[in-house]
Amino acid sequence: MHEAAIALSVLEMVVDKCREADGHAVSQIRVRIGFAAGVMPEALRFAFDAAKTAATVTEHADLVIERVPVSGVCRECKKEFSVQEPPYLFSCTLCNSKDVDITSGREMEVVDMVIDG
Amino acid sequence: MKVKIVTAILEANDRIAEENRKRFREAGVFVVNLMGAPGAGKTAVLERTIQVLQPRLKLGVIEGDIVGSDDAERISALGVPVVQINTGGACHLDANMISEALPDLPLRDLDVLIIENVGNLVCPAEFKVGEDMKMMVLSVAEGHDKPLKYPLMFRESLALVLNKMDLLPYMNTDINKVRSDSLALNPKLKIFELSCATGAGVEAFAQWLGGSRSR
Repeated sequence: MHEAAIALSVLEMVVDKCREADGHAVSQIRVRIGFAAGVMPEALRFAFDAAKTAATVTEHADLVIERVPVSGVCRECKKEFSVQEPPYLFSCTLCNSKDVDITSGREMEVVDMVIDG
Repeated sequence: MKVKIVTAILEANDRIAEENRKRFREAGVFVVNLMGAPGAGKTAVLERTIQVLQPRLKLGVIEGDIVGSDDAERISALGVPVVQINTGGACHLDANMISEALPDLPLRDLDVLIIENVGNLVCPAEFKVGEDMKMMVLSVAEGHDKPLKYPLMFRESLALVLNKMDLLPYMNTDINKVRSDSLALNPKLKIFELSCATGAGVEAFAQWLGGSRSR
């Protein structure tokens, strides 16, 4: 639901970094979004494509979305677990407890970008 | 040319939230981010809480709504300093909106600042605003399926207020399921049952909230 705000933050960051690097155009932006980040990739892409034309630097940029599986430690059985493509609500794969410490899978970050000239 | 970035997308927001937090610390004010769905009764809980705490604590409020100033008017009527933020469509408050509202509040005179977020069970939980504590209001009329449908907010909150308890006899809501699912997601969650209509449970919650600033 807040994918538009996230897409705008990505674009803002990339435009700044592109200027810092004296680039003129960004052709690709790679982001990493955890499965537990609460972000719908389709909605993020839709918002990104709608907003990217606001700056000439980003108007032809492609968005590459990498997903991060959810890993955690179960507070119930104390075991570490990992789920490749979990639903938004997930539980320990061993004992099914929902009381888990999420160690990865909530990532929302810009990894890198490709700039021209 | 590939340029490495590796920066959290909400880094700009988190940075401003951290600045807000510093301003709150310097002013000695305890800040609560109050979240919940539209109609859960966030403003009513706030009104009731203010009435209990007002004699001994100086309270301030930031009201977040997409449009309108109805909530700020209700709070202002209690004689509490209040700032209304209109997000103009955005579904949550972010750290920058709070930062811009702060000059309009007598921060140094306040003991507790309560930020009532935009009514929404999803997005507000994702955006830090510099608060000391997140909490949420869920009315029993919303049904017992909400914790497992909107887990993040239940995970992030320190307290859950179950509001409109007076309506429970007329609802098919299984309150025990709300409790057990909420605690399964977040075993540290403090749960308060109250009714703003009758006033039942208000005192206990308000005293707990007032005491939170010294915990």
